Amino acid sequence: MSNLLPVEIINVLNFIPESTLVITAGNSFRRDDGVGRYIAARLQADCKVRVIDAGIAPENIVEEVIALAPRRIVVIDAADFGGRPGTVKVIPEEHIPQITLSTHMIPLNVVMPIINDRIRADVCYVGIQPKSVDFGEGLSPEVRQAADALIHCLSKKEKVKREK
Amino acid sequence: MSEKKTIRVNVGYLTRVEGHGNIVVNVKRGKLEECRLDIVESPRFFEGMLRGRSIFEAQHITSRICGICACGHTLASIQAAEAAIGFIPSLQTRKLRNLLLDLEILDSHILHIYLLVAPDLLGVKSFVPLIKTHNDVVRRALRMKKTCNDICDILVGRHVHPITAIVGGFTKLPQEKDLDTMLGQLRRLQEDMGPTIELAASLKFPVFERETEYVALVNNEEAYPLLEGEIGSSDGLRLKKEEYRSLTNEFVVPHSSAKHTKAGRASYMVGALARLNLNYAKLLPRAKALADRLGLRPPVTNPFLNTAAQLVECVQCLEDSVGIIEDFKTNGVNEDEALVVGLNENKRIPVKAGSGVGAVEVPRGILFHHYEVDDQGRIVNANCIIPTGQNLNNIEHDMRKLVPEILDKSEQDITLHLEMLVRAYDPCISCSAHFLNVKFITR
Repeated sequence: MSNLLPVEIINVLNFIPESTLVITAGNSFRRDDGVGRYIAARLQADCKVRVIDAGIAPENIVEEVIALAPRRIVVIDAADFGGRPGTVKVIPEEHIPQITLSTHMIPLNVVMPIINDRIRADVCYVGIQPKSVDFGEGLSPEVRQAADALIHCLSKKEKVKREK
Repeated sequence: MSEKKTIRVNVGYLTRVEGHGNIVVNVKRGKLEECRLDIVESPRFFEGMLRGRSIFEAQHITSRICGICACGHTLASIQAAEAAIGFIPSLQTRKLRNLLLDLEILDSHILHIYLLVAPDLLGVKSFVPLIKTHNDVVRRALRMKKTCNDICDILVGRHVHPITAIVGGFTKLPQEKDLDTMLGQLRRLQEDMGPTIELAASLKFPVFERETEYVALVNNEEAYPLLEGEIGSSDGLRLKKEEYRSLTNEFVVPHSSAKHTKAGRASYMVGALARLNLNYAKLLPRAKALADRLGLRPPVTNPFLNTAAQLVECVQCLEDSVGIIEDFKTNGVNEDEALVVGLNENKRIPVKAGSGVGAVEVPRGILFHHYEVDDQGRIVNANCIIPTGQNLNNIEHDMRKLVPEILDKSEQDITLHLEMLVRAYDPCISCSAHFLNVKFITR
């Protein structure tokens, strides 16, 4: 299953240090934007590392993450980078646009610096290309397949052969 | 020199407000030729969506109008539906609804003061630089916001878009342990309120005066009215909530997809400052003491001070919330009032045809929902008038007075002042969904 994932992702998630924290985000009522939450819900009991689902309010996890003080953070969210639906990529932080801040939405890439000003963790953003972010529940087959591959990779039982 | 000045301000995308708005100002040889706030959002047709739907599901639809005022829309919706069918909610239900409004106003005001207004007054472009320079302050703001969200979760089943608040009451009522949890969280929030007041009290607001008509709920009760009352104005207007159209007198302007309103004067203002101007005497002691410290004795006619009034309301809503929960801890919660989830299939709430108006004070001002309902409880017609729509006309009148007074400033300063003025009203032009949109450049 992990064959679906690119080498860079396998290398990020395989042999992931126990001190890593996985943060997922997204809105389950916007179809594939809910992929982060889908992954978190299936990982909670069977993950190599700790998982926090930030859902639609990433700003609400600030104190919890600072208290945990992980050395490494992997953020998993839907990300429109123009790829084929279900494509998974490591997103360089500088490619994440500064979305306008309002009382209604504080984007994850604004929240992460608040956390990192205190704990200085190494942050890696993993984006999954959505097929649809229309109103509605459930993931598209392409995105679900990618999500399942990520879950497989992060599962305790899984020992993925390290790619070279 | 300013008498002959020519300036052209065109803020094509006003930041730190919700939705899309443009500020356009033209001054030619010292004469103001054009001054407007363009609203370029497309209409959302919520009233159309409500037609044919049951009043028992309307609040789930209307709460989606806004991600911040979701509880306010829920309560205005429920109030309109209950008025239409002649249902009178219990005292316990009204107290819980008031608590919900307190928390939502607190949550919204905290975010507005800290994240959207403070950057202007601290001389930075946005909240982002404050992460480095004022990290403790930013974390405090988010901690306070989270507390409001968490209590909302306990009270109505979700951070936003309440589930348990329905026509007739609540489907889930707080248990003793819930009351203890909420009270503990509010006590911790009280600790953060002290430094919040000190910070906000140190901020200097622009000096500008323009008296207008201030509109808010008024009633004969002792408490600061948020949930119940008649429409009142600082010009002595008193209307039953059913007569809301005599207040709003909505009209269309070419540059705005949102309708404008006016009552006795050319425009009127709703929101924290309007509420404070009309109901100062009803503030709880700590809130009133803060209002006095900030020099907010009615009539307050500087619209920039809407932010200061919001701070006063933060204290008001926090103290009121604590009082409501303590009251429930003393007198208990009657769990028998819990309703069954659904669309009133058990017919516990009697339904009849009618027309009803909900008028509720939400963070940005008085909100109206008006439903006409058939004998099956289906909505035949709906009308929603949101506070920001009511403020747009007043903002433009403020702009027209402000610009000639600041013509001696640089164009950059004039632009900043205009942006700050609009932001002071905390306008909510639309709501957007959370989605990480990345422009990825493949190498």
